[in-house]
Amino acid sequence: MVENSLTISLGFGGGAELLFGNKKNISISLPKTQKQWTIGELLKWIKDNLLQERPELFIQDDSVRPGILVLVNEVDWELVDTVNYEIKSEDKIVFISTLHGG
Amino acid sequence: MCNVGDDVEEEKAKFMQARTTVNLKNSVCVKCRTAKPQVVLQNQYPYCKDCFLSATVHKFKALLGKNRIAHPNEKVLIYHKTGHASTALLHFLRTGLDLTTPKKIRFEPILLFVEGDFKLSVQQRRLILQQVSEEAQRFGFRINYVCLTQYILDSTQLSSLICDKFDDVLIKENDAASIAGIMKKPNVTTQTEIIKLYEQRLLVDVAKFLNCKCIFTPDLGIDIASQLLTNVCLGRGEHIVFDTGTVDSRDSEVTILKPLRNFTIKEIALYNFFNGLEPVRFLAENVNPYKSIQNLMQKFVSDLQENYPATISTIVRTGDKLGVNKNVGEAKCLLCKAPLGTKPDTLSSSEATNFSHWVSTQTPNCGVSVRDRSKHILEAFNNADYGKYCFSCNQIQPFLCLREV
Ligand SMILES: [Zn+2]
Ligand SMILES: [Zn+2]
Repeated sequence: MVENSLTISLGFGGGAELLFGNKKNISISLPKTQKQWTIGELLKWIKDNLLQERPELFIQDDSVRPGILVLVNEVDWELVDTVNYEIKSEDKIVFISTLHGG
Repeated sequence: MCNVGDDVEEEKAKFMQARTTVNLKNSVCVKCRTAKPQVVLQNQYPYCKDCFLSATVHKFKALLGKNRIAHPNEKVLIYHKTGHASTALLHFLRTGLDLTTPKKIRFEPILLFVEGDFKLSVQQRRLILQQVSEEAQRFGFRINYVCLTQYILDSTQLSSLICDKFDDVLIKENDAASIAGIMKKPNVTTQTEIIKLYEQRLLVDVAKFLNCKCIFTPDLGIDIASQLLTNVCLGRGEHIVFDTGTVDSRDSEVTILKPLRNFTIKEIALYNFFNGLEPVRFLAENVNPYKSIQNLMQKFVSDLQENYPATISTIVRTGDKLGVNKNVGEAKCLLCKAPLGTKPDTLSSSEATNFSHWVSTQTPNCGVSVRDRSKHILEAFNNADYGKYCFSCNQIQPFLCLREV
């Protein structure tokens, strides 16, 4: 049987959860497409489907806003090519806000 | 022999180092050289989780060990705030206290939370207090609360302002207005400066009240850098050593230590992440970076952090090279408590500023010779005697409505 969706879990911390209805963990299913899902694509999807307020505190241009740390399965995304990382089933992607003043 | 290429290299070294992109694919941890890295520091050094965590704890202990400010069994006041830095500090302290080895921390931390988020709703402020209290409880620390507004309005009743239950903190809808009421329409920069001065004094007052000889603040490298540049802008260059150094010994009884000053926010946030710690956070209103010098400096250093990460530690280390002014007497500034300078033989920059202001505001007597004219102006010039306030506080002082501060 071919799975037609990609199930991953998202984590939000350090205040980033406040932009997502105070949810710290969200499990999502991404529709499988011709193209491989990358974190860059995922960010657009998050912006359209999950982000509840002040998008500027999370997204900037085609990446996360400076001050948001990203970890893929507990590994700094700088080690896995950041926005170009190709998402795999069961991945856990965590976003931690380090923004000052709150 | 002159080589064009060499020149270019030299030219480069003069400028700030931009963020570097290093290919870290298939890299190993820089410390143990075996494990797979999980963290990248300063955009180029990969660490495995274990080496990262032990290096972070080591950095904290090294700073404490080097300064030996807090002695065994003494009480230390921990200036506790919301956010990553404070949470990590509590974890460093708790794990240090729980050790059974000779490296165990032997002083007794007491937390202080200063309630001063006047811009938030009463409900939000209550929620923050509650979460802060839960956090202190989780770490097993004693915590005290003080409402900054009440302190600013009347600092003489300190004992009645210190609460050990968060429910007892007096929070009012009109706190922001009450604070504004003690000032004569200052600009945002001056207002921020005045509140900061009160906050500083509150810390020292509470420390004395609770018999603490030492205070720890949660300032990170980026906070130090922005404070340093703010000081330069506000004519507080002389106080950089106190405001941004590892140790602030301005007060003869209470020493302030900044044990997190060598950390970046990324190190601290990842330390929290790997230890499963969640700091207390709230959604602050958007700050306009152009509203005050302090905001602008914050934006400036955040941008530096993003684009030229190495410059933050350069700013901090440059500050470390500055010394305390030797030409000081016994007197201290009534507002910021920094030692006041005595008259040196040469003009200091603040005196030179005063002189140039004086000269340019005098109406010259054209009936006498040029020589007599300048002689007259020189004789009439009486350099402001900072008997009570330092240069910078002298500019702030007129905005305060209180009689004697
Ligand atoms: Zn290692
Ligand atoms: Zn002063």
